[in-house]
Amino acid sequence: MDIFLTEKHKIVRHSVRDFAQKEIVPIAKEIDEEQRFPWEVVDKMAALGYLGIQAPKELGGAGMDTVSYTIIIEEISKASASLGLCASVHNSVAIYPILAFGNKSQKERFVPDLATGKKIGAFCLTEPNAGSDASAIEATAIKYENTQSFNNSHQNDSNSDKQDFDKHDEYYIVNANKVFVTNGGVAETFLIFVRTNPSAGPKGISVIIAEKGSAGFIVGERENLSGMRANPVSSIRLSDCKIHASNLLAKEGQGLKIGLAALDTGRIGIAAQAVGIAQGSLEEGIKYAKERIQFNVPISKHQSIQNMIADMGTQVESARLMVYRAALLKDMGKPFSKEAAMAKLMASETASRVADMAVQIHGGYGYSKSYPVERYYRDARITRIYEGTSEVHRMVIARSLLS
Amino acid sequence: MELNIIACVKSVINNMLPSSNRNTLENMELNPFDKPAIEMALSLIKKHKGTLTVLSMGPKSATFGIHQTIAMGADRAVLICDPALKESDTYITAKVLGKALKKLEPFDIVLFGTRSSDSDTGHVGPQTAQMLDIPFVGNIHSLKADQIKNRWIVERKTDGYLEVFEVDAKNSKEQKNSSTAFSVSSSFGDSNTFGRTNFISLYGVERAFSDKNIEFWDNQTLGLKPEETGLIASPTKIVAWNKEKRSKGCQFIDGTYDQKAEQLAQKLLEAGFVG
Repeated sequence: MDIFLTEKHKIVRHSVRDFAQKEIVPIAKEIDEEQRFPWEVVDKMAALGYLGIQAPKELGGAGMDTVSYTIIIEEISKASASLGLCASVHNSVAIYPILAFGNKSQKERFVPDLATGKKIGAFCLTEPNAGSDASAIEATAIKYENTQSFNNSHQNDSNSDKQDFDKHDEYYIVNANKVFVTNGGVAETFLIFVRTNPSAGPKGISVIIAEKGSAGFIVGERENLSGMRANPVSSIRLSDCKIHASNLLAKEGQGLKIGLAALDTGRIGIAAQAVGIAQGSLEEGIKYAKERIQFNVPISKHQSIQNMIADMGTQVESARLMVYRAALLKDMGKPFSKEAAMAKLMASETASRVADMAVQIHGGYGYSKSYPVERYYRDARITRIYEGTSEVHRMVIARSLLS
Repeated sequence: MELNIIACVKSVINNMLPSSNRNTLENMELNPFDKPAIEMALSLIKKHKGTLTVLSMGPKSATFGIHQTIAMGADRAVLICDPALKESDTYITAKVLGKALKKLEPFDIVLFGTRSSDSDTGHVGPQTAQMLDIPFVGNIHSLKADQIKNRWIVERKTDGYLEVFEVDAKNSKEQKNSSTAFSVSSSFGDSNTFGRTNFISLYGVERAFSDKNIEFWDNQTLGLKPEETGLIASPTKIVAWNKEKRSKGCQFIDGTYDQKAEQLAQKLLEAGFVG
């Protein structure tokens, strides 16, 4: 399994596993049941560098490679997929696009607080009418010069914009209705996908960095989800929100390009998360199969259970190898888009199947909240939907194979 | 008062699979009983400034545990690695560590774990102190410097008592600093939170693999001949090494609930689990 891994990767795994076992496992059930975001543990994760895994050291990050990133996300997710999701989204679709597409000043303004976990990041693409078809977003950002022509209705708000708007500065008036925003309830820095040119179709999409606290920035209700319940997935609304033009990431019209690049990286994280859920399910399945006595023997002695364990183990290893391959390609600076899509498809489908088998091994107890497999089963399901559904991934992979 | 501290540690096997070689990077880690020594050293350095050097003897795969100590905050690491050291007993290990410590002089204190999780002898700390002819106090959980009187104040718990020792940090005859050896108890710090507070950070791992390199020493570095070390030179030899067979027994207690509770409490008391 570990033939690609260096001693450094192994020490990363050893360290994160130690942390996850002692700090996350004991609260995983409770934070899921109570829908609680455990700041006390997230602050520790931040101090250990888990929220700035690949950000450069000079910007407060740990400066590690993508393989380390997958190891860390897998280990955290094995303990609590909700926290793995927080770290994956924060690292890969909040910090990474700023590092890859931001200018020097944007990197210096936003990355250190994110990489050290002072602020949590979020990525706002999905809208009520734009899911798999990201180009259908309706959010707008219209550029204005700071003249009298725009009557800023929020200028008297106590919580008004932090930035000074010079007379000649340019800014955007952003209106957006974003849903299913991972980390939405706790994040402070948001990457918002908007139309800067409503008549330009997909080429009119851009990304603007918005900060919580800006006038007109509203954090909506937390979603009542089936799984990932410790993550405050929320809706986000921007209503005539005035954002300085210097918060535009890259150039106008580059939104889809940024989105695709971010999701390529994000897929590796979600795939690693799915491997973590699958590995957790496998371990719980093995543990229970050895303990549970039926027909006077542990059920692990029954061939039907052995077959399930063998399939689970084989599928988890296959998925993990594919995740490592995508991560290694990225670290080598080679194209990895197809491999990341394949890894995400494989790992998320594997997590669902393996968690399902783990529930089956547990029988009735697997359907009860007394055992972690019930949580794995719910958490696994979303990995086939978010950051690109399995269907979208098949489309991406087929397009690549048929081109 | 800057302290020059040396911690002697071991990489141990944490999980030996029947089919694997004995020592690989897959199954080695820092001896958990050495972790308190590193933590005590780091807390002393935080307070008094100074440097921590980690010293270890072991195979190539022992780098795993050594890198962990650098990631925790050690400043320098030396691994004594030589094929001729293979299967050295605790006496030879102490002799080799003693030679290496001589080479690392001057130092103020040398810390050990109380024992190793794999061979569990607890010999190496006190034997190494003997090789260097320096004082040794074992199983301490607190170490404070009395700078005015130039001595260490250490505490250890034993059989329900708290012992407090004074150890001279200066040799009055030769008017120079002298070294002392201690082994550090797992109850160092707050025993309730031990192992929970000091996790290895990613920043630490980066540091262990970018800024600091492990120095490799061998018998030649220490002026030792091959026949002076290893199995051949060891006064004690392992003659059998078999996996222990464990058996679980189940005892049923009869009677009413009250009688059962009474009997259970009695049995636990007799076995020394409560009381």
